[in-house]
Amino acid sequence: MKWFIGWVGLILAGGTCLGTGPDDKPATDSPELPYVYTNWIQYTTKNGLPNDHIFSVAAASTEVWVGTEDGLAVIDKKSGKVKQTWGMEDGLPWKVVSGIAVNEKTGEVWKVVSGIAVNEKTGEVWLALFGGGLARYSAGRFDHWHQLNSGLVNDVVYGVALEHDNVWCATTAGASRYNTVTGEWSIFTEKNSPMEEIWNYGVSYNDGKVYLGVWGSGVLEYDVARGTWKDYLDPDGEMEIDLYRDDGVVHVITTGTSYIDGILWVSTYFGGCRYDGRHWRGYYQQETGLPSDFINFVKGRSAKEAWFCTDKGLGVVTDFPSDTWVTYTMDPETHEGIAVVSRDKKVLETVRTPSGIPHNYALCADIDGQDVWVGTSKGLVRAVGTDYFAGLRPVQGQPENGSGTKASGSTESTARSKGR
Amino acid sequence: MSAHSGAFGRLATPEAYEIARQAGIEGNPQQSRDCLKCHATGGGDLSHALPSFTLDEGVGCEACHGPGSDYQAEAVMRDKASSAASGLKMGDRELCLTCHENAHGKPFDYQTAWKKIAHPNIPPRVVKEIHYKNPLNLALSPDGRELYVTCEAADSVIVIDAINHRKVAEIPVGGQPHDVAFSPDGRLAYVTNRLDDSLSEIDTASRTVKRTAPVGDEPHAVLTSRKGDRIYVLNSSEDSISILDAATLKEVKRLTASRYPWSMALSPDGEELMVTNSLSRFVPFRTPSISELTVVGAERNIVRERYPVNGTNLLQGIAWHPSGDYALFTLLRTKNLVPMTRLAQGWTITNGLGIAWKDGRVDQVLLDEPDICFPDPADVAISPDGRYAFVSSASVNAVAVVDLTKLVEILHSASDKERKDVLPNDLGVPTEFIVKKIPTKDSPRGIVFTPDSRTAFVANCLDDSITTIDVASLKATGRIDLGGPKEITKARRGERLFHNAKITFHREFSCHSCHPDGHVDGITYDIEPDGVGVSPVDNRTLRGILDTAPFKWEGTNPSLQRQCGPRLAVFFTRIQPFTPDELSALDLYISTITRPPNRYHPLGADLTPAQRRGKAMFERTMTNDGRMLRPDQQCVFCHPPPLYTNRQKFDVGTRMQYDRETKFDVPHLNNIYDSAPYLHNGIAPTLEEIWTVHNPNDTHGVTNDMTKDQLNDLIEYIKTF
Repeated sequence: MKWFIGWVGLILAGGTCLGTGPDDKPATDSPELPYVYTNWIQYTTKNGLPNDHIFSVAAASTEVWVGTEDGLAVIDKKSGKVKQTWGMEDGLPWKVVSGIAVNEKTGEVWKVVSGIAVNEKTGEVWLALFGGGLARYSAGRFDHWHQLNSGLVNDVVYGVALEHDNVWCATTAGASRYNTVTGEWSIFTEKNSPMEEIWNYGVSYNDGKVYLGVWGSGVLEYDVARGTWKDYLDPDGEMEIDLYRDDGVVHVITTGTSYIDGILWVSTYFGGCRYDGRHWRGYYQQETGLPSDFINFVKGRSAKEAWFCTDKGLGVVTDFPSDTWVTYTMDPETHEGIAVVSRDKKVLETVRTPSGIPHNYALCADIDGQDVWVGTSKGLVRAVGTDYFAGLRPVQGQPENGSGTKASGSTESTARSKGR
Repeated sequence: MSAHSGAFGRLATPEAYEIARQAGIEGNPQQSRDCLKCHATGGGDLSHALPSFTLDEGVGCEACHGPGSDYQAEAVMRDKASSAASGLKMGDRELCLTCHENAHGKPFDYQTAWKKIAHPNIPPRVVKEIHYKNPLNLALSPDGRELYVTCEAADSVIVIDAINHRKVAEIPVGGQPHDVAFSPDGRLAYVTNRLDDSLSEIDTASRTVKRTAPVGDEPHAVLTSRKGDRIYVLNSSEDSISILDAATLKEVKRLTASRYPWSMALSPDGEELMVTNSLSRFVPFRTPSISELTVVGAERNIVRERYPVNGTNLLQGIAWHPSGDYALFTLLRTKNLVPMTRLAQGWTITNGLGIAWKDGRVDQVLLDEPDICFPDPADVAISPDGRYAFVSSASVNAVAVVDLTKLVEILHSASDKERKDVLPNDLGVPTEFIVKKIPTKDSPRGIVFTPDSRTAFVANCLDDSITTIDVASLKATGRIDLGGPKEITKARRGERLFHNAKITFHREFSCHSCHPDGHVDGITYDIEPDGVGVSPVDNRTLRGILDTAPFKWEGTNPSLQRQCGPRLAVFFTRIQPFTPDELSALDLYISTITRPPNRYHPLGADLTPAQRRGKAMFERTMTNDGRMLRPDQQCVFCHPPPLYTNRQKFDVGTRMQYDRETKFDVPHLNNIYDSAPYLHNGIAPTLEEIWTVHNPNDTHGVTNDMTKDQLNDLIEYIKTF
C-alpha cells in the first residue's frame, strides 16, 4: 500500500512546479528544438471514464485501454470516445463469470486496475488488479486468477507484462510468471533471484529481457533465453544522496522500467536514469527538465526519448545526445498547459496551450505511434502528435546537426515547435 | 503367492521360530533384523521407505531392482535408458547368493532358480486382435467426388467414392483421428489425431500423409480459412484454438476458447468462425451451467465474441445456414441441481438445438418430445439449399430432420419471453419443426450433405458404416461398409450399450451423455431422491478406472458390476436394469477406456525442476518448521503410485452442510489436470483451491505450512501422474 497511499498523499499536497528557468521567454540562440505537443485531449469522468484516478494505460491498434481506481475503460481511437467501461455497478464481469467472491475476499480494491498489457496477436487484455490479482479480458469475458485459485504469489499486483507465452506479474510479495500454454506458475522472490526486497513495483518486457522495478532492490533483469538474473543496484548504497554520479541506478527504490532499442530507462522515487549496457546516466530535477525526482513511471519511446511521469508533471527527455527536455505541466491557476523546452537547465522556449495534462500528478504513459497517452490523478490525456518528429529540428533556415531524426512526411518548412 | 512375496509371512511360522532359535535369535523373527535381512524388501529397514511401504509384501520388486520412487512412473519404466538412469537395477547371480547361499542348509542352484523366477514368465497370449473402425466425422472433397471419414479406432481415414458409394482407400494417420477438413482446392486434407496431439496433412492425389505437425492436447475439430492459408484446430483438453500457417504447418497463435472446444463452422462469408464448447464454464456451486459459443473473427484471427448459452452443456455439432443469418448447434440442458431420479418425471437431461443469430442473439429449442427423447445430439448439418437441418442422435440411431423454415417461423412468431423462458423447455414444440426421424445404424455422428443437397452421408460410429440418405424422400437408401470386423466382441457390445439410450426411461440419455469421450461432462450432480441439493457429487472420469475400486464418491460400490448394475437403474435410468450379460459387456468396455498420454510428463521425459521439487513435497515426512508428519498426513499415504489411490475412504474435512457422509473415496490422480472441478462435490475449480480454500485445518494433508512456491511445485508434480 505504500505506493498507493504515497501518491494519494502527494496529490493532497498538490501544487505544480514549472522549473527554475526564466518564464515565457523563448531562447533564440539555440539552433535546434524538439517536438512539443500542443494538442491535448483530456478524458475524465465527464466524458465517460469510470474514475479520474488513472493507474494504467495501454494503447492498442484500434483502442486504448484505461485502468482506473474504479474499473476498466476502453476508448475507441477512431471516434475518440469512451466505448465501454466495466465496474461493479456495470455488472461485476469477473465476479459473475468466474464465480469467485472477489469482492468478499478483497473488499473493493479489486477494481483498481493498476496495470494493463495488450496482446495484439490474440486480442486479449491482461489486467493487474490492485488487491484483486490478475485478470484477462477477452471478447466480453473476464477470467480471473488470484492467490487462492492459482499460483499467483500475491493479489496486490502492480504491473503486468507479456513475454511470449508468459504473463509476468509484479506483486507486493515477489514476481509471478504464468505460462498460458502449460498453466505453470513460477514465483521469483529472494529465494531464487537476487531480489533483496520482494515488493515489485513494475514489470516490463522487450527484446528478450524482462525487467522488474523493485522497491528497495533496484532493477532486476531476467534474460529469457538464458533463464538468468542480473541485478542493478545503487552502487554507493546511499539512500539520501547519489554519491557518485552515473555509477548505476540512482536509487534502489525503483518504480518502473522500460527497455527499448537496447536502452533501459528507469524511474525511481529519487530521480531517473538511462543505461545503454555499459554506461549509466542519472537524471535529477535540479539539473534536467524533470519536474520532480519523485517519478512514478517511465516509458521509453526510443534510445533517445523517454517520458517520465512524476508527481509534479511530465518530464520528457526528447533528445538524449543533446540532453534536451520538454517539461509538461498544468497551470493550477488557469488549467492551461505549459511546455518548457530546456537544455542543461537553460530554458529554450516556453509554450502555453489552452489544454494540457489534466493534473500534474502523472502515473502512467504509453506511446501510441505519434501520440502519447498519459494517466494522471485527475484524468487521462491524449497528446496528439500529428506531425511529430523524433529528436531535434533546426530552426528555420539553419542546417540540421544530425542528432535529430526526420519524421516521415515532414515538410521542409519545419516550425520551431511543430504542433503548436 | 510366490515364495519371495511370502517370505515375510513365513517368518511367522513355527518352523521359522525354530530356525531362529537355532541361530540364537530370541523373540519374533518378523522383528529380527537378522531375519528381515533376507525376508523383507530393503532388509526391513524402514528409515528411507515411503509411508505406504509395509514389510508384509515380503521380498518385493525393489529388493532386487532397487528403490522405485524415481523409476516407477510408467513413462520411465517403458524406457530402458531412463529407467536405468533413474536407479532400476537388474538382478544377477551375486545378488541372489547374498541370501540364498547356504541359506538354512538348503541347496541353491542359481540357473534353476533364475529360470523359476524369470519374469514375465508367461508368454503373451496370442489372440486375434479385433480393430473396429469407429467412423466419427467426415468431409466431402470440394469437387464432391470423395468422402473422407476419420476412423477413431483404426487410426485411419477411409476414402469413399461419393458417386458410387464404395470404399476406395484407407490412409493410416495418427492415433484416434477425430475430424477431417479439405483445403479449398481439395489438394490437401487435414486430420486431427486426438491421441497423438497432432495434425496430419494428407496429399489427396497420392492419398498419403505428407506432413505431421504438433498441436495442442486432444485436438478435435479442424477447418481451413476461406483462402486456405490458415488452419484452425480445437485443442479440447487445453481449452484453446490453434491457428496454423498452412504453408509451414507452424502454429502462429493460440486463442483462448471456453472449456473443451469441440466443433466449429465458418460463416458463409468466411468472416466468422463459430466454436462450440462442450463443457460449461465454471459456475458458482449449485447454479445452472453456462456454456459458451466462441466467435473468432477470421480477418484478424482474434476472438470477437463470446456468447453465453444459459442452462446448457455439451455444445457439440455446429453448422451455418447458407444465408449466413444464423448457425445451429447441438446442446444438452442438464438439470443437475435436482435429483437424477426425477427422470421418471421427464426432467433430468433434455436435448436440443441452439440457434445463434448473426446479431448475437441465441435461442434454444428442444429436440425431445413428451414421451420420447432425442438424446446425445452429436452433429448438425444444413443442406446447401438451406431447407433442412439434419441432427444425429448418437444414442438412438436416428437422424432428425428439421424443417428450417418452420423453425425460424416459430422463433419469429414467439415473444421475447417465450423465446427466453418457454421454448428452451417446451417438449411440445419439436413436433412442429421436426418433420422426420430417419433410422441409421449404431451411434450416428458426423453428417455431411452433397453440394446439390440431394444426398446426405452419416457416419455410424459403432457399425463401421456410412448411411446414405436421399434428401428428396428423406429415406435411408444405403449402407456403405467401411470394412470393419464382422465379429462383434463382448467389449463391442458393451460399447454399444454405453452409447445407447434405450437403457433409460423415455430414452433420455445414455452413459455417454455424462461421459463424452469416456471422460467427464464437468458437472456436479444431485443423484439420489433424498431431497434437493443433498449430497451433490462431482462427475468422475471413466478413463483408466480399471483397478481403482471402490467406486462412487462415497465408496460404497466395490465393483463396476455393482456400480453399473441395479443401482444404476434405481438412481439413474429408472428402467429395467441390464441383464447380467449386458452388464458384463458394459463393464468390460468401461475397463478398456484408456487415459491419454500425460501432457505434463511425456513418455520417457525427465521431471522438470519444478516437478522434482514438487515430488519432494509430495513425499515429505516433515513440515517446514520441523514437525514430523504422521503417515496418514502425508500425500503419498492416500495417493500411492501407480494409481495414486489407496482405495480407502477418508475424512479430509470437505463435508458440507448437505452431505450425508464425512468420509469419501480417495480418487485416483492419473491425468488429474484434465478433470476439473475437484473434490467430491466439485467445489474446487482448480487444484490450488483444494488446499488454499478447502483445507483450513490440514485435514487433507498438511499443507498450510507450505509457501506459495512449494504449493505451486506440488501441483506441478501432481499434474504428472
